[in-house]
Amino acid sequence: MTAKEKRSQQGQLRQKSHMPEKSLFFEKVIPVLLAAMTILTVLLISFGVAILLGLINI
Amino acid sequence: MQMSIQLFLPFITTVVMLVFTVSVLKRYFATRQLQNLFWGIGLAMFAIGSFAEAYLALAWNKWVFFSWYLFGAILTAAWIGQGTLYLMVRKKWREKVTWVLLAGSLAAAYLLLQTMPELDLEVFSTDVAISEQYRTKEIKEGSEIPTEAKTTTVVNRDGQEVTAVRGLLPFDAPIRTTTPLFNIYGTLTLVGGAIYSAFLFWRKRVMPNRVIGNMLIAFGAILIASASSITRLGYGQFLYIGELLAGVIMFAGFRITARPQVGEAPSAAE
Repeated sequence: MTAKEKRSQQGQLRQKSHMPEKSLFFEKVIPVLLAAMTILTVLLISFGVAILLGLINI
Repeated sequence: MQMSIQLFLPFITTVVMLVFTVSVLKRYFATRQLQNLFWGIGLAMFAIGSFAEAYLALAWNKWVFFSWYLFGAILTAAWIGQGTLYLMVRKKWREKVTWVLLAGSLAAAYLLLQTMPELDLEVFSTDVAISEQYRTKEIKEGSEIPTEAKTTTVVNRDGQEVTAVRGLLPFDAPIRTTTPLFNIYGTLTLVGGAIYSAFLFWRKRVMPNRVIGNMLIAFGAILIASASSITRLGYGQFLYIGELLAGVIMFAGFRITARPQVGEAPSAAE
């Protein structure tokens, strides 16, 4: 394998194990989804705690 | 139609969860990583819970109900979450927490065993999903009593005598206080762990498969936690579809996360 081919292969490997650059999905959508899921998780846990403490009577 | 949905949705979920469980346990036997063992145990509990739902749409069996409530309603999330904990915290702590979880699980099983002789079997019907008939529900002031509902009088937490729709479990059975306890822990470790892992990979800009896989695992777990919370509020009809979607999404997330990246050593389980 020539040095040029080796460099090209390494570049391809790096690209696949790293996030694509300037990707709207990874730059914008993922952080919004992560934040939304964190909020939902906090709400679900708060609901469980409220039941445990008897604040929600069901 | 209702009958077929409450039979087939849990049955399909059972098949999905069994395939998922075998996949995770195969990974454990190949790698001996304890997180895979705990995930496998938790997923097997999920499968048992789904199978119990399908069975209870056909006939009554008190031990199947016992399995449904213990594994399906109480323990599943906590045991799957325990696997995630093994990835997140130091060995010393995770072993201690495992002993606490084991002791708590045994205590829950004991409490449920104590409740079994008090089950109100007269109200059981194969025509209604078990998630809609397991609890005795207080009728709030101004609410209508459903037609054909069997009612009783109970004393609520405020010490007032109120009308309640009879369910299998007695009103205010102590075992019901254990479900939020285990599910809070399960949600915190399973969903919190998956979101945190996804965030770490995203911040380092590496392993996009693990970012997406962990997000799918978190989303599936949020879905089942939401369906369980809605069931607790008295709307049990969403539980079965929530379980099926959660199982499929979490399995997809697991497969994507476990997929070796180019340049990464292939996983021993693949």
